[in-house]
This record gives sequence, structure tokens and C-alpha cells, in this order.
Amino acid sequence: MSILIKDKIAVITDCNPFESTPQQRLAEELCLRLQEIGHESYVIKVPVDWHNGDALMQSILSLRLLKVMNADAVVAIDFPAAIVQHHNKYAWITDTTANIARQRFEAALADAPVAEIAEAEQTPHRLTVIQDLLTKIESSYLSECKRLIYCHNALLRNNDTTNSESEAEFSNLTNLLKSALSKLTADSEVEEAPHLQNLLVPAFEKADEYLGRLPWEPITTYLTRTLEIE
Amino acid sequence: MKILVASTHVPFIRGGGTMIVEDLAAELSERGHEVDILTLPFWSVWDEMVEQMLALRLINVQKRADRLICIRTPSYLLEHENKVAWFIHHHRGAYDLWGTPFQDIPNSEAGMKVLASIKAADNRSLREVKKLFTNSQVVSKRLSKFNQLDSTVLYPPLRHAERFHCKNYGDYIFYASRIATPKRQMLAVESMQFVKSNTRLIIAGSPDKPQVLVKLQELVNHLKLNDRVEIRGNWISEEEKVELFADALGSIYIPLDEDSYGYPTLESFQSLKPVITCTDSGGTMEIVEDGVNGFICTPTPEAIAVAIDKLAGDRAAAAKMGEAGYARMQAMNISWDYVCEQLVS
Repeated sequence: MSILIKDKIAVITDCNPFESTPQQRLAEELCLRLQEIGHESYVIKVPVDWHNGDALMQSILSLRLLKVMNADAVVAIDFPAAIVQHHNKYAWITDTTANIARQRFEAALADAPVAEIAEAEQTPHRLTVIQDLLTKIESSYLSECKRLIYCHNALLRNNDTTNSESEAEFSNLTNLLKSALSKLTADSEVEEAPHLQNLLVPAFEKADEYLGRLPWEPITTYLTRTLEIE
Repeated sequence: MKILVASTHVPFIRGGGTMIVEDLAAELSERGHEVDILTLPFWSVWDEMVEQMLALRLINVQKRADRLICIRTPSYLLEHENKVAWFIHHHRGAYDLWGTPFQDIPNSEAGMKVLASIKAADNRSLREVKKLFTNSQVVSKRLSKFNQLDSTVLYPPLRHAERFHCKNYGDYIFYASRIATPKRQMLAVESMQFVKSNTRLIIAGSPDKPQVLVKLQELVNHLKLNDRVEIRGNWISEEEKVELFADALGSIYIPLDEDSYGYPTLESFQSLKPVITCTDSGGTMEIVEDGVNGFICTPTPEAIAVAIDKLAGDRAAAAKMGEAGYARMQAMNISWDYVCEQLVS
């Protein structure tokens, strides 16, 4: 069945409160365009912390655990928003996960207080480990999407890597996330959150330079055509 | 001050819970604060709640703002050293509705774990706040009973209240609300078959689910009330709503056991129109006084019909009741100046 008029499409993006990131502006613009062609559309913004590797992992887990219900489809703008789980998920990708992570870490540290920079520098291996991890599991997250839409110079990558090949990485990641999990479990008796084995990931870059000259008509037409409700 | 207003919601569903967030942010902005809104999706289905609670807890907004104001449950799971909660309701299926037909978590082993998680998370995170406010005495009493927490009632005001006005006392009763089973628009329609005066009923609001609207219209058809009941099943514009209140004889707001008095009650009083509510409606009891600024009926179609006929039978009395409703709002200090001062100080 093709998408019906007034189907509900959630557009999800990471955000930085009090700032307007390129991804956020792209999401808001897409949302308006979807409304213009007769859909209900809504932007979900989730703060992501890029100050160090652990903080990013914590953000990734939060995105993975959120439920975007009451939406017929979800369009995620880039990594890490596209980590979100949804049965009918589409991603709009502008760059590799590694590139995005590197740029965001640099941007976050550029604004960070001295103490945070010092802390990040003392544990340089963490960022490397995480970048490697993100790259390795990128294709798994991509394979969850019904469609990937690459933005301009985005690379077309092969998503044939099976989940089993990434199993070891998933285990590593799960271990890394255990400390974050302990925050609530101490009080709540819930031993562990499910679905962690299915973790994640995609890619992007600065989208604002494209905004304003993006080919909106083919994009919205493409989305309408490809958003099939199953 | 840099203020982040956080809440949760079900995407694509609008109602009082989303309005209070937008209104507060706008009012704080008007008072010179730098404000941003963080509305996170939250789906209150029992076996998916703990994961989502964890998701909220993991989101880091610590250094993003000077103050975090949390509204809908369980947005107060977010951590912040300067966190304030304006708590509007529990996940009631785990609290006061536990053991009733509205209990939405099973008594199974898994269900009991989820129940324990919700309570543990609430007890812990609500104790992290610098100040704890609620939207009604009902909610404050529940926090005291179930979580042993003291709180202060901060009544949610209307935004741009001055838009509402009174033109005349016309020939219809207005029900302005999201169309949903707990709002009991069905009961309002059923009452119309017992109304003796030529009063009409206008229902306006967006339906939670399309089926709710279909059922409501089917009931109107079945009772052959098409010439007396009008349903505007969309989220009507603010202007349309203001005009509908301005010309109404009075309004009706009869939700089942709701926590707060509801925006429609304030909109009605601001338009100098009396409010018909029910003995089991909950928060409306805090502002509606039977025979003074409206009627508090037993929740039966017959009793509601009597109230409607009373308003129709004496329009001068209806006008006086509407004015009394306005006076009651002033007496309760329902204003944004007060709310902003309390949340920011």
C-alpha cells in the first residue's frame, strides 16, 4: 500500500539546545515540505553529547532506547539520529559516521572549558576506539533502514555486512554501555535493557551549505514514493 | 536566565499537555529569558516504558541551561543541578488507578518489575528537584500519598487570556476539547436527548483516534440528534474557538477523573460563560462551584440535561454565573506572572 495522505511522518535529528544545528534546520525544512505535500509531519530533537567518547556512547544508547510510536514512518537525518528504532525507518545520510564523529568532537572541544579538553586529551585512545567501532557497525544500522537517501557528495556504501560479522563489536559496545545502564538499575530492579545487541550507526556532515539549494521537489517526491506502509 | 523546558509527549497528539509547555516557554521568553523546548517522545505502554525511562535518564542536558523545568512524566528523569518540576500527572496506571479497571500494567512478574521501576524512578528523580510544583490539589495529594513528597500547587493559566470575551448568551452549549473516550463527549451527546429547551450542543476538537470520531457521529445519527448536535472534528483554530465561546450560552467539560481543571474551563470563565461539569470529573471541582459559577452534575445524561435547561431557562442567571467564574479565577491567582516568578526564582 502506498503512503496515504495525512500519514504521520516523524523527522528525527540530534540537537544542541539553544543552538540551531545544520541537521536541525534540515529536519525542520523537510518537515515543512512534507506538510506542504499533505502529510502530518513533526520534528523530534534529541540532545547528543559530543564531548567525549563515553558521552557519545551514552547518547547513542538513549537514541536507541527511545520509542517513536504513533508515526507511520521515521525519517532520520544522519548519524546519530538514525540509530533510533522504528519498523519503517528511512535515513538521510550526508557523510560517513567517522567523518561526522570527528567533526562533531572537534566542534564540541572547540567550545569546551579547558578542564574538559584536558580530560579528553588524557584519554585520546577512547575517541579512536569509538571511531573504529562506529565505522564497523555503521553498515548494520544502515541495513535496518528501508531506504537510504544520500545527500549530494555522500558516499554510496555497501550495506551487505551481516550483523553476525559485527557481533564482537556489539559485545564490546554493550560492555562499554554497562556503566551507563547501572544508573537506573540500582534502584529499579531491571537487570538490563533489551535490544542492546542490535546496536547501530550511519553518517553526515554540514548540511546548511546545501540548504536553500537542495532539490526539494525530487526529494519530497522520492520520499512519498518510497514511504510504503507495510 | 537560560531555561530549558522539558517534557514528553506522544508525537502528533496535541492537547493540554503540549500546550502548557509551549505557553510556559513563550511566557518566559516574553519576560526576557532565553528559552528552549525539549519535547521527547514517550509511549506509555507498560512493557516498553523502562527502556524509554532509561533513554531519558541518559540524555545529558547538564550544562546546557541554567535551569531545567520538567513538565510531563517522566521528563524529570533528566539530570540537572538546577532542576524544577511542574508535575502534571503520574503514570496513573501505576498509582491511583492500580487495582481498578484502568490499571494498565499486568500483575505478572514482569509487570511487577515495571511497576517497581516506575515508582523507584519517580521517587528518586522527583527528590532531585529544587522545587516541586503541581497543577492541582488532586496531583499534590497523590504525590503526598504515593511518594511522600510535599509540593506546591501552581495553577496553569491561559495564554493570551484577553482574547476570550463574551458577545452574548446564545442557544448552544460548547464542548471544546480533544475528542477522546475519557473526555466523555458521548455522555454529552446522550444528554441532548433529554434536553427540553431548544438548546444545541457544539463539540469541537481533534480526535485521538479516527474511530472515536466515527463512533461519536454514529451516536448522533442513532439518536437522531443531527439538527441539535454539531461536531467539528478537527483541531479548530484559536480564533474559531474564541468566537464559539463568545456566543455560547455556557460550556460543558465532563472528563472522567481528570487531574486539572482543564483549559476549556478557564476559557469558558474568561468568556464569562458558566461551566457544566460532573461529580467524577476530578480537577474541575477545584474551580467550579455548583450553582455559583456552573453546575456539578451526577454523570448521567438526565442530570446534565437538567443543568443545560437551567441555563437556557434563565439567561440572566447564566450571565451572573459566568461572571462569578471569572472572579473565581482571579481569586485563585491564576496568572503567568505568578507562575513564571515561582518557576524561576
